[in-house]
Amino acid sequence: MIWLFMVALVAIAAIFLGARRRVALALAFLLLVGVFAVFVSMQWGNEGLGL
Amino acid sequence: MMRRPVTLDLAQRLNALGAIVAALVIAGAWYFEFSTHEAPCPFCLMIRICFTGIAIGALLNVRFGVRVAHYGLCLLFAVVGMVICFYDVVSSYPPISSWGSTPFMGLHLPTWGFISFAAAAALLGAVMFWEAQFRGTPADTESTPTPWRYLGYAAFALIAVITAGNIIIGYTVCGASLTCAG
Repeated sequence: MIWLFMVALVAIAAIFLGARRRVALALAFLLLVGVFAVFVSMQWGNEGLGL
Repeated sequence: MMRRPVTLDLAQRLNALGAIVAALVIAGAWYFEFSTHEAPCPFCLMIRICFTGIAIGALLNVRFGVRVAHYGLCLLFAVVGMVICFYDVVSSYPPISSWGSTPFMGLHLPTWGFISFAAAAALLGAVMFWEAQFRGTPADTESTPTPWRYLGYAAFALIAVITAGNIIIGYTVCGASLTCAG
């Protein structure tokens, strides 16, 4: 899962160093989709919230 | 391409403060982690990523000027964070050890995470009513008083250090696993 933190760090660096706004936004959306995808993949098949 | 005309008008200063608050929330989780000597659960790591995402949205506002899209990004991270926290709380009730052994003010950290994300979402909704922040173009750095410029730099530095630390913590918990599932 550390790849998500790495993407976050790259996004922060890109914003600070003045990368194009679209690049920064793309990295941020990659992070957003990534964290949701990891969450779903971890829970796939775990129906009923495990209760 | 070093564009450094970071204008910190009032809205940007508040966004810098917001990013610092998000970083301090993660720092608070670090405090619990190190004081109880318990490694964070995978859910907890994802919750930290969502707080980092909110900070990134705020930093976009600091760097590129205040835009609705940046607030939207913050809101999306808050919603994903709420979903993860909700699942964490509901799927493992009663509280389990991976939440951290010590409740804070009677509630465990995932519950506080849910409350924090809900508060962030509500705050973002309220902030949208301040329409004046979206008008006008930022001035350049030279016109920005030094302390406010440093506030922006401090926000960038703090969240970068916190995220770098989370890479190390994440590696100790999940290794190089893509999803931390196995």
